[in-house]
Amino acid sequence: MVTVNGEPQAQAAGQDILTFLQARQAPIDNLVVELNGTIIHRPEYEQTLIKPDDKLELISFVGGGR
Amino acid sequence: MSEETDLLTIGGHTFTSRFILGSGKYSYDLIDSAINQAKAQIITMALRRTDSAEENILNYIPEGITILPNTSGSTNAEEAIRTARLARELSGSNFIKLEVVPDKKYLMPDNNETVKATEVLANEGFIVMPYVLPDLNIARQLVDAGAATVMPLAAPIGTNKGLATKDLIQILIDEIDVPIIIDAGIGRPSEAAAAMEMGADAIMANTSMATAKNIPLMAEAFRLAVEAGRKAYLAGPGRVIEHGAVASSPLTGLSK
Repeated sequence: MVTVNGEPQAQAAGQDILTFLQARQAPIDNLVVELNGTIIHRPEYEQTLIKPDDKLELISFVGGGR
Repeated sequence: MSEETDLLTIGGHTFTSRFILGSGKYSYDLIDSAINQAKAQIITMALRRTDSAEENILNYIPEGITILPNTSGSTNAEEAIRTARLARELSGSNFIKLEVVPDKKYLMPDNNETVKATEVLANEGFIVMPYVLPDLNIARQLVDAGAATVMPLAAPIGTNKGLATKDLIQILIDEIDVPIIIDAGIGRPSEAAAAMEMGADAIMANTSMATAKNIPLMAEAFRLAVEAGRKAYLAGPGRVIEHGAVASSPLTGLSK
C-alpha cells in the first residue's frame, strides 16, 4: 500500500508524481517530495511513477521560529 | 560607522540588518508589516508535512528576503541532516538554522548531536547556523566543524525570560570568531539592546513579537533596540564606578 505523509493512499499507485500532486492540489512552489527516503527533484516528477509499496513524504515551509 | 560599512557577514553573504525574525505563532498576514518594521533581511521558517488546505507562507514573504529554514522538530543529528537536505531543495539556498532538540519540556538543544550534524552539513556546502546552549568548548567544536555562526540561547525557547545565560554568552562573544547570534528567550527590546551592547552580532526573535499585543510595533521597537545596542557597542560603553561617584560638572568656580 502506498503511504503519503503516513496515510494510506492506495489510488496513488501507478500515477506519476506530477499527476498525483496536481490531483491533490499540492502547492508545487512550496513543496519537496521524498520518495522512500530520496528527494525527487522537480524535473523528475513527471517521469517518476509511484509503485504499490512506495512511501511518499510531501514537505512544505510553514511558519516557525525556533 | 555607517550602516553600509557595518555589515553582518554569514557564510560570505552580507546583511545590513542585525535582527532576524521568526515566522511562528502569528498570522501570515502580519509577516510583511513585521519584516518592514523590523527592517529584517532574514526570516526563519520550519518544514512540516504538506497540508494542501493550509496557506502557502511563501506568498507572504516580500521579495529579496533571505529564507533561513530551520530543522525544528529534529531530535538527533540524523533527523536534522535529513530536514536540512529537504530545506535546501525547497529554498534553493544553503542557509540552515540547525536545531536538534530532543527535550520536550525545556526544549534544550543537544549540543553534541548539533556538532555532529554541523560537520556533515558544512561538508555538504551548507551555511550552518547551529542553535546551542552557550558552552565555549562546544562553540569551538562547532567552528572547527564548519559552522558559519553560533546561535546560543539566552533563555529557553518561547519563554521571554531574557538574558538568563548572559555571562556564558559573553564568553562566546569574547572568544569565538564567527558571528554570535542570540537565538532564544529574548523577551523585550531592552534585553536585545543589552545583548548587542555586549557585542552580540545579531538577535533572532519570534515569540517576543508573536505574543505582543501589536506585532509590527514590537518589531519596530526591537529593531530600534538592536540598532541602539549595536551603536553603543561600536561606541565603546564608558566605565563603571563601583564605589563613590565622579562629578560630571567642574568642581571649581562654584558660586556660594
